[in-house]
Amino acid sequence: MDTTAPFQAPRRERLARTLLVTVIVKCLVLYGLWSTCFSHPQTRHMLLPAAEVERHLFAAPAAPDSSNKK
Amino acid sequence: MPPLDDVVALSRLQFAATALYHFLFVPLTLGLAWILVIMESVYVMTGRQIYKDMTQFWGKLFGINFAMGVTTGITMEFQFGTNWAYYSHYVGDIFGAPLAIEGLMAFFLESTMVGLFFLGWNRLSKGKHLFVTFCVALGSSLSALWILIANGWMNNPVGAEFNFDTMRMELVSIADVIFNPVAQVKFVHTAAAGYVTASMFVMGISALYLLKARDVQFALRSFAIAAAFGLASTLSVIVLGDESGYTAGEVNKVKLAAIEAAWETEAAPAGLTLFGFPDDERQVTAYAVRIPYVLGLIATRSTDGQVTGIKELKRENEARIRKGMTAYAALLRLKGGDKSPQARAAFDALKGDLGYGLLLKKYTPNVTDATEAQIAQAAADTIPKVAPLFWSFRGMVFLGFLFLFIFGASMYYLLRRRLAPQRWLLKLCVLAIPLPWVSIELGWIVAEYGRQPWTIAGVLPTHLSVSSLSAGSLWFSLAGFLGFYTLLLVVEMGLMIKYAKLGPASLHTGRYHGETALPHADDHAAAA
Repeated sequence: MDTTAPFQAPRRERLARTLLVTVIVKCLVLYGLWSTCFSHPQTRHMLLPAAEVERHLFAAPAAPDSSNKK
Repeated sequence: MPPLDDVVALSRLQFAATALYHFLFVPLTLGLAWILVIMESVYVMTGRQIYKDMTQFWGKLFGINFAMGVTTGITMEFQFGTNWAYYSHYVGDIFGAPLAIEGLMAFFLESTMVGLFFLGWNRLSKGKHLFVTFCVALGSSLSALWILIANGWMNNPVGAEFNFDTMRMELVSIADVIFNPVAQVKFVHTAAAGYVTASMFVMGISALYLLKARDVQFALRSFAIAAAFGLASTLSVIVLGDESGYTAGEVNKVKLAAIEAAWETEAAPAGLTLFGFPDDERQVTAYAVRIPYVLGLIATRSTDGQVTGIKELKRENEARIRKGMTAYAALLRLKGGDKSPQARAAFDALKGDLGYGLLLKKYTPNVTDATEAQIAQAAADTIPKVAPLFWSFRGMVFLGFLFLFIFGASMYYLLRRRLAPQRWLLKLCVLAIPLPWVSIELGWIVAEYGRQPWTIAGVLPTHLSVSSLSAGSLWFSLAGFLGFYTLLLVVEMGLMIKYAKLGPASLHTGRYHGETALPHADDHAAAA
């Protein structure tokens, strides 16, 4: 408790407006990222043709992964 | 730092970065919602204005975090289809239900109720508003539950079977997926960690007010509620962490052995390595400080259960890789058109090891003809690097016990009504505000890095889960995500600091620090 502080009515905060603007900007940025990088996913509805998975598993070797090398 | 053109490593880095950033927002939402329920319950029961003010002020900080955090998880779903196509295909039949329910929980229950929480103060009765606050807390916890059910399934893929026609895992029992012991333990452990985070957040900011001798009654009451909730939550985290160790001992043996740097299978009950320097190359732990029996008791709940060591697990996995090669050959035969009962039976007998055979795809296109050297390489891959897991786990546990000390000491001095003179403790509370986040991120590193080399444990190797993308596109989207999340974090920190500094005066009630020159204004608020 501060009993020495002078009377000072804080100005009305505009938190709701700030948050609303942030959420709108966030959605726009997310939409931009999605449309630039993620709008053409290899899978639709988490499903690939079985033949494509077969090709992936049976034919070509997988991409080299150096991240778990001992 | 991954090689610049390694698609697998870049995809992992992108997912890890977005998940870790996303989880900066989640725990505070999870925990603060329940603290608001407690504060508002006291308001409804006592009718005292100060508890309504507390609910509204901490609710404001909750609102900032919620607004910044909402939709940040959707970026991971973006990545499923684009970066992780084969993983996405494999899990699609299992994850459909949990992710859809999570979406309904998050957007229709949680978000709607958050709106009512802020707009309903003058429109709803006290009881109805409390019910809304309760629904916010319940909605956020249930939302986390469904995500963690999906995550738990990746660690322990129960209730599903591989279908060679569709080339994916298909749901057999939704009950087994929901009541998966790994998922249940993970949920309660994660939720309780969120409660600890929020408690430390409220305590730390309240301690700051107490150190500055401002809004004392408001801060003391907030501090007391957070300390009690935090103490109970920390004890829950520790107990549930122990339960998590037991579950890992049963279904994630490799992860447990790596966390504990258990290189050899010891006579039961195994000792716990409290401290040491694990060396992945030499497979020894230098300067190990050990406590006899403890690991065996935690991991097996018995004095005669063994904790299998890394070297033995590697040998077991090598045997499974050999069976996986046969399973792979049987699958090729089925896909080649031989659907005879014998061919099906041959595959069914070994399909549980197919994933181990697929580990060889990293080294040879012809799994069935893999050399001994390639099999040995694949077997070595089944063990994640020990040192990062060993240290992350110990960092998390150390912080957990530090929180227990802080909450315990706070409760002790609160009950003795001697909190205010303990400036060292109040300063420690302020300094500890970010530590629960550090602890939680370490926990996620243990959970996810410890699952390597799998995206779905024992079923789908990470290197076969990624899409056919260029490294350039991954770098571009990674930079976009990092910029996006960093911006959000900066805005969140700016708003949080601003409103924490303003304190309850931001409610404009005229009762708090900086709003009035009336002496003992805060005490009037307390009496109201």
